[in-house]
Amino acid sequence: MYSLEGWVSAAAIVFQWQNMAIILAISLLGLTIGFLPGIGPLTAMPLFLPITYGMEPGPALIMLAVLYMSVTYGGSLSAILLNTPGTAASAATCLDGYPMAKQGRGGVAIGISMMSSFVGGFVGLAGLIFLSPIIADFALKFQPAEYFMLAVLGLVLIAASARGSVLKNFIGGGFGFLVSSVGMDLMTGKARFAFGSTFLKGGIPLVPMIIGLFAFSEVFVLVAKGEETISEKGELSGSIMDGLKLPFRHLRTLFRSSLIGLGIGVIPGEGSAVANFTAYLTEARLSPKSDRFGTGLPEGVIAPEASNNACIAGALIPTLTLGIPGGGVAAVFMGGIMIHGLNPGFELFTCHLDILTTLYFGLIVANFLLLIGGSILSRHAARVTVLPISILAPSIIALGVISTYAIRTQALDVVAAIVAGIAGYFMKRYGYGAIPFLVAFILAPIAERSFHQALLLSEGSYWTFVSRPISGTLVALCVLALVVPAVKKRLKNRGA
Amino acid sequence: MSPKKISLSDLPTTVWIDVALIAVAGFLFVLTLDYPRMAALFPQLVLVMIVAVTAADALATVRSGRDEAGDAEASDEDRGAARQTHRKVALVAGLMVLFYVFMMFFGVVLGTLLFVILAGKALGYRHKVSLVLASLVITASVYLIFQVIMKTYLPEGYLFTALGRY
Repeated sequence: MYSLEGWVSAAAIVFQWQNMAIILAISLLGLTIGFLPGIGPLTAMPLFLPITYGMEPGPALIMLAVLYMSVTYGGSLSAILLNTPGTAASAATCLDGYPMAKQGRGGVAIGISMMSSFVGGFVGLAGLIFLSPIIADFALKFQPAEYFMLAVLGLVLIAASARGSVLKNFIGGGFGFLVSSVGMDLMTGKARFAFGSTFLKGGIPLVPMIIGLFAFSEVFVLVAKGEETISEKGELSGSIMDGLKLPFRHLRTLFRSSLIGLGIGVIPGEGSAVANFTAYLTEARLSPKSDRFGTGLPEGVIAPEASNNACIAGALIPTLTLGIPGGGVAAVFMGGIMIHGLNPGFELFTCHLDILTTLYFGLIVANFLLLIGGSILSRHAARVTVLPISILAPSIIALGVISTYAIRTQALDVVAAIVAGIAGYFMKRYGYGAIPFLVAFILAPIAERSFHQALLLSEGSYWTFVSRPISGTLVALCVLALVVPAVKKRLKNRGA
Repeated sequence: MSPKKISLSDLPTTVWIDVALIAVAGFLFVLTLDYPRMAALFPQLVLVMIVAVTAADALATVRSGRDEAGDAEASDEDRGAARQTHRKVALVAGLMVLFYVFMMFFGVVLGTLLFVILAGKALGYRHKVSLVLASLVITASVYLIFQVIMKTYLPEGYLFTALGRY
């Protein structure tokens, strides 16, 4: 299918100085944009879509894909340094990345993040290039019952494995499902829990929710603690270079998480936000140091970072091969393909293979540039942790409010973010899972839609969730995820 | 041994929060009774799950006789300190609202400039010159990213819009 001549001509196109300049500029810009709390690829990519209109298809697609990758890279930096994930794809990185930054090992955490993202990116690209037909075929076997059970499994894994009380995590997750159901029900057109408000009828938007729950609640925590700076030591120790080497001491974690990210990316509707949590929680479950996850463990950074970057390429597999976007960002990417008169699917792989090869080669080059550029830039970005809280807090507030407002220019989005921030602060204070809340909030639309579709297909029989082989396996995994930690705990108590 | 009696005032804060959450869930469940079956089914299932889990959590907290978050609160902070923490949370929430008001009234550039200085002072930053410098850097970054690079629509400010009319 792929020929040596094809790769050589792709290299010739990518290495043209104009295209290299685009890749470099977009990589650095994406890193900066990703650093802003709440500004993710889904916000940035549509803004860049019109710019690609006048470009050749190959470089245009490279530009969009590089933006996607670099914004995800950048999101991890703010997750580590500010405990405010730039994108939902980096939310799990906060759990161990931020404690590392607080311990003065911010540089090491960033190095780990960069190298894990690099390797994850490559594993994802390898999957995109070589495995796409096989994996896309498997994703086609997923029916609504499987999608629903996958969403439930996501919540169960998170509630059972996240820090704190399992019951409180489930309460957080339950309210995440509930808050997501506010607004117009797409099946019936009925406004739910809207109390006559036009804003609530439109549903609670995701970005203000993320900014509130993570960025604003962190400002509350920072100010309430009364400390002067984020870093306890006042300066960052631990070099990025040390961090770059660390993932290779945890090869199993690195590759397992990359493969999880790739697999989740392939499933339409599941995105990096689910991938990074699933990889993190899988690692937390399998690791002998599971009780130390959340305290600043390198594996806790490797897992989400490798998976979210592998997920990017994974999401492109069904987009390019079947024309089914793997997620919101992939849908924007598909728009980029279509405005250049190309049709995803069989035609793209037969008539325009040169464009695809150029895209793949561009992504390989961008992955290297992001590793080098990111490692250099991050050294400066790491300094934000020693900024006084009295400067940092207003900066996060200003960026958060502007980012929230800029998306839809709606005042009530800002109010929603502030309310989510206050709720997030109290959730953290009293131990009700803010992370399960967010994951459930993201999964709820897929879960509810699939739930109804599955019931329609089975003529109202709930048995469908258990009787189908893949769905039944997911049910068994849910039960195992709940039972195993409880049994482990009991055995541990007996031993003590 | 007679079982230890627990008075209502001894109950940990999270038990009261659980009770409030059950009440909210109950109220929302009543609302769903008016919805069509398709629209009501999923939220109803979630609400039943929330009530069951929250009740289990409240019972578990009462049974164990301790509340992790509450205990930490009781040992680390006296009531005065807790009140001060709540005051700080209120201050930050006020600052968020203030920034939005500044942004709408003065526009993003002047609003950010003034806000960072005011908020920095309110949060206890003492060095005036570095505060002004920090404010300038933050404002310039915001302008560069949102206005120049991303070409986002940002409010010009009611003040300047009104002045522009004259």
